[in-house]
Amino acid sequence: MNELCVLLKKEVKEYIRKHKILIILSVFILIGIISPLGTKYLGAILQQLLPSGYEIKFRSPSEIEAYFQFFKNISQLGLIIFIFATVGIMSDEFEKKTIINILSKGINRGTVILSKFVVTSVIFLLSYTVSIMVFRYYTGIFWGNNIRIGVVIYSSILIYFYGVLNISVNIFFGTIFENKILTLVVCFAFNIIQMFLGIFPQIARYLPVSSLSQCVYIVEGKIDIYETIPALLSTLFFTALLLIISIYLFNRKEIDQ
Amino acid sequence: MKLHEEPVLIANGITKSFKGKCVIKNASFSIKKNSIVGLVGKNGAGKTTLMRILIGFLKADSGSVCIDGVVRKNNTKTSGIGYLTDVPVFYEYMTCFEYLSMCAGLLGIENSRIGSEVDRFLKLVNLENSKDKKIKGYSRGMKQRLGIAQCLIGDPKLIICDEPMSALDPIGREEVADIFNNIKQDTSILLSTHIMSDVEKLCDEVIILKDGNLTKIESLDEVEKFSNKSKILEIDFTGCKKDIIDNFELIIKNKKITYERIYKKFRINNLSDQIIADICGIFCNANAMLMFPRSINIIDKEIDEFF
Repeated sequence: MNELCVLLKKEVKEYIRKHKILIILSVFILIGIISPLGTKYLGAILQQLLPSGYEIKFRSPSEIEAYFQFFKNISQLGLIIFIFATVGIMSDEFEKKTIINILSKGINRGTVILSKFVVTSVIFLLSYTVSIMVFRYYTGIFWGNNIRIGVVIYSSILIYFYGVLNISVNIFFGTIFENKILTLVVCFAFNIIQMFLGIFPQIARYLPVSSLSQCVYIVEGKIDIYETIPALLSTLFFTALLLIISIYLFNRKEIDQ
Repeated sequence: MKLHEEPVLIANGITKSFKGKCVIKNASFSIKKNSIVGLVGKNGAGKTTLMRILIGFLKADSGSVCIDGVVRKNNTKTSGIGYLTDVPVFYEYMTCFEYLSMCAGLLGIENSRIGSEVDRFLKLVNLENSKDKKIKGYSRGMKQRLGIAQCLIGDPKLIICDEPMSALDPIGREEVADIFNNIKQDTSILLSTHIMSDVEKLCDEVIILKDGNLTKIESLDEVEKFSNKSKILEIDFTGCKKDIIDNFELIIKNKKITYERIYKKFRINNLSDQIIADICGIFCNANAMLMFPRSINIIDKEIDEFF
């Protein structure tokens, strides 16, 4: 337990001192701001860009469209920035050989992986929470927050756990490849391949990536919560599986650098 | 070895192959308490591999390692051993105090004691004035000293150091040698080196790794003899007349001294007291023969040359 506490502190210190937490928070706060503002004022912005004499008529954007924009921005821009900022959490330790002194202390190797997973997940949770709070602040101003908070929370859970799955993918491939670039490529490939497989409806409902579209449908009221359960369970299952395999592989890894 | 002085490490029958090539063959040796053991061998001999097997980073194909009376299974906790790599790497966003505190925490030292323990080791390695400076700005020598401090945290019975002095300047090497001599009373040290003068200065015993086979030299006399074998007497006659150089060559041939001539330099291997006395004798009579070389140096053989 003491080892875990020490490593958790070390990981938090790293995120702060290397400004990763600042980058991630900034991007997520920005998403929380631009999603509602962009939705609300898109018509006015486009009108400004048109040559004089031209006019576009827009219907008033709805709160649901703002949520659509928010979830889209979070699952694309937000997740991409997050993956870039955290891709080296495992692979950097091998590439830079900083793991050697740590492991020479005779610690439980699984603790290293757990500490990285826990801290990165918490930072993602913190960033996402701040983002959606900022978003809800503006939707409250513009539309009065008519969407039930319970629906918003459940949709957020879907997005959050998909992000956590990406963290475990990052750790897993970082442990195998020991290379940041390869890990990054495979993390993106993991998402893209799912999108292609999502073409097949029989498979789509079980794919973790389906959570990213289901979170919008929930808010729109197009689907019920129970329809999201297969994708959510699949996300949780693969997260746990990848973590367990990562710990197993790391325990047996020969350090020859 | 007295019966009650159980070795701090006993390695028995360690064998390791990589891609079908046997790097270490049936290596068996022990390291006594409070001793400094040098591990020498040419580049690629398997020194680092052997060290990583001892620390637990690599699995031996066969054999066992017993640390302080406890047989260690492959890839389990390696408590009781400190490890210093050839190029120690740290989290550069930390200060040395923070880094050592982290190491102390990982070793299970109580929070209340961590501060005093870290201060003790920082003082030992002369880094107490840099304790709040980020590691990013450290020189090579400072990082090496920090590396020594991190492997000493927790007062291990044995520290294993991979080429601890190879990348340091002479002053840095002196500092590290002083630290090792200071800690020898409490900790055994196994250090690999390709600098023969380090063996002579520091080591009580020497382990030689050659073609996968391991030989141990245990007595101080033998260590000294071994160290002398690694030295070359180089006499440089650059700028001297040809007849003087030829005259010198004739004299050492008559004295049956084995030498190697490279243009105007003479290199004499396998130094012994007799050979040194003979050479001194030649130059003591140099006035009469006007035999004044440009320089006379005793240098270490390159490790690959030696093996």
